[in-house]
Amino acid sequence: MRDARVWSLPVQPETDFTLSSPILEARNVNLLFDSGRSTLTVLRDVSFALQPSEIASVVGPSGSGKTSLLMVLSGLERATSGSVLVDNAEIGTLSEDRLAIVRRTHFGILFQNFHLIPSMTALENVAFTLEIAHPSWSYSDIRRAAMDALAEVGLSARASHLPSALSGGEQQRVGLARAIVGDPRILLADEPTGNLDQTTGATVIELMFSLARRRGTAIVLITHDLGLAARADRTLSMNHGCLREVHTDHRVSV
Amino acid sequence: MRRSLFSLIRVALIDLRGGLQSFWILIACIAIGVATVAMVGAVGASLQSALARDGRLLLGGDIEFRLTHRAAEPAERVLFSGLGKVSEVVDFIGRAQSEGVGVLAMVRAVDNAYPHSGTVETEGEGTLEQQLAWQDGIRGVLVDPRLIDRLGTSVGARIRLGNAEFQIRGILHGVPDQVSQGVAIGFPLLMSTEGLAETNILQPGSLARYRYKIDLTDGGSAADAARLVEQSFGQAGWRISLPGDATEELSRYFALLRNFLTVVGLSALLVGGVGVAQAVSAYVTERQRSIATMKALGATRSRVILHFLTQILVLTLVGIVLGVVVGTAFTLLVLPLLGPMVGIPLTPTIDGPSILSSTAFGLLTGFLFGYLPLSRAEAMRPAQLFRSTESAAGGPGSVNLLLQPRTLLPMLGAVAGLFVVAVADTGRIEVVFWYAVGAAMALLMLRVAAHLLQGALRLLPAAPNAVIRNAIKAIYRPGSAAPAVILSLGLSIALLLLIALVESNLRHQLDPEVRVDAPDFLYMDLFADEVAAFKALAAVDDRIADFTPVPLVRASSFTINGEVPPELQEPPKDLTLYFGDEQPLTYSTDLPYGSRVMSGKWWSADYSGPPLVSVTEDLRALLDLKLDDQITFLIFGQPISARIASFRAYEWQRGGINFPYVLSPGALDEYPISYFGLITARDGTVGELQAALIAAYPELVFVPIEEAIDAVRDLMDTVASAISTVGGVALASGVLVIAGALAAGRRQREADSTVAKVLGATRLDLIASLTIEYGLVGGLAATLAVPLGVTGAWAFISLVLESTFVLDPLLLFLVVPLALLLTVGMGAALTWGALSGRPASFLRNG
Ligand SMILES: Nc1ncnc2c1ncn2[C@@H]1O[C@H](COP(=O)(O)OP(=O)(O)OP(=O)(O)O)[C@@H](O)[C@H]1O
Ligand SMILES: [Mg+2]
Repeated sequence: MRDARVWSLPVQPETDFTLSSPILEARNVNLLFDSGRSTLTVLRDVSFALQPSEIASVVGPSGSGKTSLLMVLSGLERATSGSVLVDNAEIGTLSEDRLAIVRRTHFGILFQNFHLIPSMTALENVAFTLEIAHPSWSYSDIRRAAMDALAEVGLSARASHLPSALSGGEQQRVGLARAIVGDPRILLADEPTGNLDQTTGATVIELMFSLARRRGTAIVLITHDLGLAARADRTLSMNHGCLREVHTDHRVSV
Repeated sequence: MRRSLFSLIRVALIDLRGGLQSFWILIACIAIGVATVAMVGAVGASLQSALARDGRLLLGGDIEFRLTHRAAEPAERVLFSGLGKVSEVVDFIGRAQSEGVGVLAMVRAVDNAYPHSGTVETEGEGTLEQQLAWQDGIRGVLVDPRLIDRLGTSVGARIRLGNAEFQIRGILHGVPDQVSQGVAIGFPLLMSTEGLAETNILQPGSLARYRYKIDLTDGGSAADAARLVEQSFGQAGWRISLPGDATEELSRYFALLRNFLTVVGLSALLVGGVGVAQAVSAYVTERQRSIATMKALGATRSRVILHFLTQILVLTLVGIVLGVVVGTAFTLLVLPLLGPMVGIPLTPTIDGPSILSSTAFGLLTGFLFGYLPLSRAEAMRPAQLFRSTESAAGGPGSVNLLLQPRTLLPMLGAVAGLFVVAVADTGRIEVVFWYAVGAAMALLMLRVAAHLLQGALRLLPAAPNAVIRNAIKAIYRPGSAAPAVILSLGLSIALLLLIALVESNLRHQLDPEVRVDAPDFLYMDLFADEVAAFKALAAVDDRIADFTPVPLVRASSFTINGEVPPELQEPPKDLTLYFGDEQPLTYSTDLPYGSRVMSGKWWSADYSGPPLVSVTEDLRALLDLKLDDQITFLIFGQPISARIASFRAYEWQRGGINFPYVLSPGALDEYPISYFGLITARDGTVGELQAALIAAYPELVFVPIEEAIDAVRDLMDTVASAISTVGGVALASGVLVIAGALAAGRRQREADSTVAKVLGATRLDLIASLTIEYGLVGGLAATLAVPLGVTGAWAFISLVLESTFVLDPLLLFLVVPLALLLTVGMGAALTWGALSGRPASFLRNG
């Protein structure tokens, strides 16, 4: 069972936390980009809800808006219209700083192109999350937690390397370690296995799924791998900015 | 709390590590700015403190009483002796002769008490007293090595001065109170007071300065002494100098130098600031992905800003330390060289205030120019930051953002701080203010121009040639470095031009050639009988084309409507050379040659009423005079009043001597009048005539104008060299900033070029494209810089120095193309380096 005591609720502490209440929810979200002459609609009326410890996969062709969805869900991009609720609290109206705090307390994000800080070693990149979230922790505590996260993704040996000295797959795993080191309630993972071989990919996925089981982390998993997508609790498909639930039979068989 | 601060600093430092080499531009720009400011400040301070600290040394005593024309009378001597130990010094211009050759000498006759402090620097045997004393049947003199050179003699040889012969006993290198002697005509020569008496050169009314330098008895106050002498002998026209005043006498040349230092100092601040701004915003641009990452990880605005400000602060501190070390080292090197140039020993000291102000300057600029791009980048949505390759920091930035108190207030604070530093550094609040206004307008103008250029190029139809097309696109594509390059390049070139123009103007001012184009010989002190003799000679000697006697009386001071004018200034520059702080008066029936009456009326030829005076326009403006004002001159201790009847303008280009005050005929009749005798030789006879004149009138001193100009030019040259030295440093820092501006955009350029190379462009294509791009950008910057630089120089010369601005077109033709060449050359060199490597290595690291 999930250990509910771990979670503090800085956004709306008074919220009644029940299993039926979604941890992340999008309501009629639209995202438009104005590029001078024409307007590009990237997300069209997207609505969906994610329960704690639920794993949802998102599939869809390139350019369909998957990464944009991730940006909007985590408050890195503001929806043109509609609302995003984290833990039942609307984040569209929050200030940039409040948004940052929501990300700090609720989200772990693994970017499609990693976005590691080039001047920091693998360990420091992972530790950076904690430095921001818990400035009062001692450095040795931060280091230990970061080392543990790196060990979980199988990269203990490369802790002191700079990103430029790591392979694409290794960078991706550092990104994952950085995303999970803060024990987020929601993990947003953009193509977490895109650069990995089958075995490593499977290990990484196993790690993420066990996280969901052990700690109740909800996961949004963006992937091109339909097999992997099928292992999620539910699968959504993105097409030209429209998000649809996919109902398949073989999920039952997993 | 403390933990989180540590955490912040720890992370900022970690993030900084590993990339130090890529911050060299930032560090170098700050170091250059700080070094220049520290140096200019230290040189100025050293000059100031030398003048202040060595005031007594430079004056040669605690107080100096000075009179022209006559020595102190017994009663006066008694009073002086009562005050302390007296040293009598007589200065005059004489002619040293040896075997038919005559050379103008600035003669100083001293007694045994001289000097009260410091030492006379000589080469030769024995003490000063022994060197000048009677020995082996002859008295000794010490002379400047150049005088020996000109005379073609050597130490030990004999020279003649007036009626007496002297032996050159040694070489004179300098006297401690040289500076207070004023501008010298001729080469220094030192003799004893007894020797002077034997020459018989000085007659009552001759142009000589009698100085009484007094080493006050313990406890004696200089102010009391001054008051006592003023009360007792005030009417005699004694001039009194205190240690501080010794420096005032030189005011003109040092004021020039100090003013120049002010403008160089401010330019150093500005150029340094541009460099720092450039570097910091390039840095912020480079880190904008990290900014987005931090925000994605949940960092708040203040956390992000503090993180990067900490880094900028650390880099700035490194730059400041480097700059202070380099600036101080350079100052220590330059001061001993500069000292002899300006005639004051400048001790190499480390100037605390300059270091402090340059440090403050570095910190404030680093903050000011780091904060805005940081706020801009921070204000962008993280998703945007992640996606964009262009510079968020360098973009136009919304006015909204700028007007937010949290953006505006810290920046206003930094600007105010910079203003305070600049004022503290230069001590001239109005100059700083207007300089700041000018700089701000220049910045605005360059920004707008860059914007317009981009807009115009965008509208242009696509060029048929791919190389040109790419060059033009590079200028207007989003994230282009062009606006930044135009800004820093334009400002740097404008400043180079400003400094070069100010320098050339000062040189121009100091060049006596443009002022004196009068006759060939000038007799300084002729009496009526001698004038008659010359007239007779001129009539028969056909080598003399013209002889003009100009009557002359010297007034030691004057009042206007009974009051001493507060702005009491030196007389016009061409005459100070001859008169120092005396006011030369002449009278004339006719309007002097080359003059024009601007207001009032010139007196009629038969005027014989109460004294009238005609004054130059310059003085009218300077002293705020009006027609009918009463000017009272003090002549030989006697007051004489004259009513202003007219104001004259004078065109120096037309030759002749311009007297600031011309009185009506008869006004000076009761006073001993001496004459200026101006002789013009027929072409080609100057040398011959000179020899003939020396033979005919050996006891009369005349100034061969050419030679006098040479002597003065020597002095001017040293001042001008000092100015050039300091200006050169500022120029160098301007060039470095241009380099910095180019290097700042280098990474982007490297990336672009590498990709282009991968896609198959040749290096030649890339260089050609770059040359066109920088040619366009640099051309615009240079075109704008010319009016900016010229306006700045004009404003400084005519408003601050209140002098006429002369535009040297040669400079424009020199500075602008040079700057352009430099820009394109450096840009090409930087890119060439990047292109020489294999693309793979760059792609992997990118
Ligand atoms: N700031 C922006 N301005 C304009 N268009 C944008 C912007 N951001 C994203 N887009 C467009 O939105 C669309 C969706 O982009 P997004 O990155 O979400 O796609 P994706 O589904 O993640 O694709 P991929 O599988 O290739 O990663 C794309 O067509 C992209 O060009
Ligand atoms: Mg994507």
